[in-house]
Amino acid sequence: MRTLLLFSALCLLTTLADARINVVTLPGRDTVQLTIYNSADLTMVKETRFLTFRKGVNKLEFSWANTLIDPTSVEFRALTQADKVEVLDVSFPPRVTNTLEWRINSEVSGEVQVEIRYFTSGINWAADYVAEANKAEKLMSLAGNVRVNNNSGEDYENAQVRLVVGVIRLVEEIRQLAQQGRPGQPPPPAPCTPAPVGAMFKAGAAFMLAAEAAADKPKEIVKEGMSEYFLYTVEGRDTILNGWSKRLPSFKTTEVPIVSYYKFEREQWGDQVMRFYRFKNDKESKLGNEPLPDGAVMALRAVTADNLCAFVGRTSVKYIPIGEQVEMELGNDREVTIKPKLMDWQKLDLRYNQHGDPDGWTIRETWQFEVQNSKDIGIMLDIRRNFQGDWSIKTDAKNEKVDAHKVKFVLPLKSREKQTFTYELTTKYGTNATR
Amino acid sequence: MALTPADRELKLFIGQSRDVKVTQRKVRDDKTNLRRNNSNHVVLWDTDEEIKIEIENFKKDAVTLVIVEHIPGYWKMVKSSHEFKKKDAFTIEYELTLPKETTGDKKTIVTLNYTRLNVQNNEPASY
Repeated sequence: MRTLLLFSALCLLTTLADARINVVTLPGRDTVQLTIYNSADLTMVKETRFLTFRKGVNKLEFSWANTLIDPTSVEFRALTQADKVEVLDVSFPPRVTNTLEWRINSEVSGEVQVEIRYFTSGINWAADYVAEANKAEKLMSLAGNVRVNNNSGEDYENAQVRLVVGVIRLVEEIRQLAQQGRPGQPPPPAPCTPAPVGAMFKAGAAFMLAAEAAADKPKEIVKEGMSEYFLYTVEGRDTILNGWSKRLPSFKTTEVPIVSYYKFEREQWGDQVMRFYRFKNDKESKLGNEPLPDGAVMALRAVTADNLCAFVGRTSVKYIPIGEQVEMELGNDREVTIKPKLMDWQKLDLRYNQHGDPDGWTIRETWQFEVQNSKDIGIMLDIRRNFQGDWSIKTDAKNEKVDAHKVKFVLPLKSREKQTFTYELTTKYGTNATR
Repeated sequence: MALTPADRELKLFIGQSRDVKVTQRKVRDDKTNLRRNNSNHVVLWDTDEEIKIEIENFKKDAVTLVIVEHIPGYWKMVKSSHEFKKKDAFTIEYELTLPKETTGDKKTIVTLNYTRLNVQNNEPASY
């Protein structure tokens, strides 16, 4: 357990001839702010306390035994009387493990608000979603939650929790992140050099007070964009003890338009037809307020008029930027079947080399697709076919070339509808091939 | 039995039949239209094949019999005694109604004569 000791007023022996070292008792944390960077197992902890200093040199001890705190990152600074309180040095005493000591010179006697900041690992968060589609699979409600897990060895009581979406790569980038919102400030020279108290921090503090007044309301999670990152701030304060997890509702939106989208691609899923719910993270879809972090999705669908729900599937989504189209894969559906059939095969246009051996030929295949929807709702079906070599197709069916080797056929199917389409595939081999 | 959605056909295999007897013979298997390379090796040919199928129904009822034939590669039917359905590129089906007690001289005979074209002996039989 980490402890912070400010030794009390009694004098200690000192080598400094003219200075008395004052060690002051420690009050509890005033505020704690956790900024959790999921991608790097890194959490920035910023705590403030009111310490009573004596005039002269004071000694402050910080211990991180049994926690996952990075000791090189520990920083101390005064928030009030900042020009009168100065850290003289930091020492790591021998024979006392996991402890450091600050010697702090104070020109004032009395209460000073200080901030202690450090990185710890062992705290992470994950998003999860619940999607509930209506019976016709045209609309759904989407609810998002975040779950914070604390295995850092330290209890964080009444903490303000902020979650960072986005990938951090280097410590320098965390520093950049920390200075966002304060334009005009030059970047601090070192990753952990304290930046001045910013508008962000103050705003956060005010926000916490407001939140405490309305404690019964479900907590709101405020989202702000920061360049390549996105910061989610959980409303109010939370106590997250070591070993505990906490799930907090993030948002809930109803009547998000969705398309029940079915895909078939042999190279990906064999003969199975896969089901997807497709929607857009934008304003028209009643979303688009923030990017959605990656997480697990539980999908349900109302199956009766009185909204009895059936479990459709569990899946996961990747990070969804604002405006992006999302496809949630929900496993295969056996009520939609596709039977590709090779109906005709011909070997034509033989060519011979100078030895009289055949070295060029063309294969012409006729494929028939029988698609059937046995569901009681209409669907969109997306069939993809991959072709290799010098190929060309001829068909009356509406199709679209996806890339050099892929063609897609998209067809709407009504409830209980059966359709058939064909295409003729010509592939040139050997010397017949021109690509 | 696999999941059968509504409106779908369901087939149940209920065992072997002993009262319907089928004897199938290939009665001709010739290579034609031989194409040779400069070393006089045959590198490509067509075929002329004929199959004769004799069917006897010992039952006291008429039955429906489906005969499935597989023909690999690029082929064309030259002559068939009965109407057939092409199920896919390498499969044809005869659906026959066998009258009751058609045995001996009254047996049903199906003959089919097809040619396979541009054969190199590497033709696909399935896909």
